Amino acid sequence: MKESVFEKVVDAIDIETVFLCSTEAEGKSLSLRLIKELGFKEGDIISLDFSGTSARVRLRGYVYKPGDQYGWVK
Amino acid sequence: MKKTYSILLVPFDPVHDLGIRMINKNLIESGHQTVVLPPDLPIEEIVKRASEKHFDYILVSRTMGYNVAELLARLVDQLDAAGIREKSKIIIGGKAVTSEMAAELGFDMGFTERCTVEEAVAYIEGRTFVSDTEREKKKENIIAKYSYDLKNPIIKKLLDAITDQILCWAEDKTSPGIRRAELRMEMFNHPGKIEKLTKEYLAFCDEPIVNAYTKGELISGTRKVSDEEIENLGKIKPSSSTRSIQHLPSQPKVIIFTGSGCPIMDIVHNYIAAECGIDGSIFICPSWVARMEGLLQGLISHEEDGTIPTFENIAFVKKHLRKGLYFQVRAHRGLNTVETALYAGQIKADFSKINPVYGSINAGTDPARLTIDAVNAIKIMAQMNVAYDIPANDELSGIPTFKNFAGMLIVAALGLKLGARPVLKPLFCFAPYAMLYGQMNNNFVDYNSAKIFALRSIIDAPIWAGEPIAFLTQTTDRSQSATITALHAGLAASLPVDMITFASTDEAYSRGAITIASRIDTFNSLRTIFRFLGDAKIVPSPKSKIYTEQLIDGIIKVLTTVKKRGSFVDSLYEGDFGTREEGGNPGRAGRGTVTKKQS
Repeated sequence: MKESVFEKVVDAIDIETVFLCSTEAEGKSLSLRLIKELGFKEGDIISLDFSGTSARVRLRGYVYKPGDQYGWVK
Repeated sequence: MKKTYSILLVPFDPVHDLGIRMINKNLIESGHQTVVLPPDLPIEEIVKRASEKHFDYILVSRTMGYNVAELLARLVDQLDAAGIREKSKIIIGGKAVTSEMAAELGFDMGFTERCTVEEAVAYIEGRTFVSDTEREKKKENIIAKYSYDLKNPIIKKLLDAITDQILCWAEDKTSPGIRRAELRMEMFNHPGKIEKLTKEYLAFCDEPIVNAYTKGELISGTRKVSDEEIENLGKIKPSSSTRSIQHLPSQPKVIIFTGSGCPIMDIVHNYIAAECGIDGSIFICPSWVARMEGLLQGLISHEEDGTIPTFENIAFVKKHLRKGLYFQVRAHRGLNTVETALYAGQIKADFSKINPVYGSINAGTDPARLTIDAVNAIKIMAQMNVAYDIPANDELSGIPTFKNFAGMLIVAALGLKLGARPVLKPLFCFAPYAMLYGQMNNNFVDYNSAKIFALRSIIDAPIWAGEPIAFLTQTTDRSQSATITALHAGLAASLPVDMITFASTDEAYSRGAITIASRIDTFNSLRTIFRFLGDAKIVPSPKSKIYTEQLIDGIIKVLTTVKKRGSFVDSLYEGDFGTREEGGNPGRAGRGTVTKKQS
């Protein structure tokens, strides 16, 4: 069975984007939705910078955390 | 006699021809005959010129990306139709080029924008190109050029008196940590007696450690690394290539922390970091190790911050570290200081890390305990030829810098008396003391510079700024974090210092593990600042001179107080190195465990 591309990720996938939003809270909510909709079981907002009409965000979905059974050593 | 070639150089852009001109210069200097076409020629004209005489090679350069595949395909077709493909090798290179495109279009060779002029010329000449980046790093002895002369006579005298007092106090004392290290050394020297010695060892350990050895009970959050993981790790073959982070050899060595919690993750991070040009790596352990008597054994993974310092973990990570890189094992602040220093010596680490001042007033270990352990750890480092740095991390709690420095200088002088090789580690950080009193309100240059100027005026010793540089100035914004780290690195290169520890753009992110991508961010940012500066310098304002003098005066005052008190250990308890109000809190771990040696 072909290995999933996720098995080649060393640790995490960061997503950088800008959301149009009217409040910081909305920016956060959008960020968490994106993490979930992208299919990450575990993710976090690393940084969020709200400008007034947009939130520049860096989101992280951990594929492997230290101590996990890494796909790249299976 | 060297073979020379006839080469046609074709800038296949409306304007950009710099790459071609640089290669042309190199080719001419190497004795080849070249013809350089002007840019913006139509394909038909290029083909006509290529047909006018025989060329061994036709080098086509393309910068602009739009329509590039279509245009190059037309060029290749027409060169083919003119019979030129049979007589000349056709090479494509430039910003718009990928090796896949070059292969698909039928070029004999494709050079991407990463290719250097030297590499292109080597290809034409049929030589194997070995870049500077593929040569093995050679570890420089950063200590060799220093005399350790104490240049300030007042400070010299004070340090002499204080260190004599410490050694006299330490002469008849021992601790469980020292005893464990002695037993561990016996285990290394007499492997046949390990079982017996382990029993004795466990008598000096806390219960969770004893249970791990005797019942196999894993400490919460840990797991054993499996044989399968080890075997499969062996299938990952790191390359030998590297990119230099420094632009000039005079720029500081650059060191990272690893301590993800898992030795396998640490190893893979080290593989990639080595390819990106780091000079070394520091093995960082979890903070709870400092509070527990005894060290675990085996290859153990850990899901929290810091990789457990078992001998096996340390040796495993070191074994997989690329040759030519520095390796440091942190030992500076807890109940296992002596044993960790022994491990550092046993695996031939380049550096350990000791600071009983920081460890006892800011990291929770009892002052008397950490002092006696530090003396013994330094002795081991001297015997086993491992240098050690002295991180002035106590600055991070708000203690005045001159007090941290007084402590650091005492530990350095102590090491010199014991035959060891200390390295000073001032912090390049947004010091809380400076936050309170304003030394960094205007800029981060003056006060950090003053630290180095002050130290250099006191002692001729290696300086390794950390830990990491730019600590407390970074935010979670990648760009800001990478930039501020780079600027501190630029300052370090300007002063200069010998080495720097630098962190990733995850430095301000405390809720998860550091990722390799965030490390690469700062590898690139440091490479950029070093290239930007070259031999040029970031220069502090005249304010820095005032700060330097204040630091020196402050150091002298603290050393005078410590000497007058007559007991280094009492000075730690009584706040000479930082009062409670300033952030100094004598630790409790190991209190009451210092005993007189049995005769």
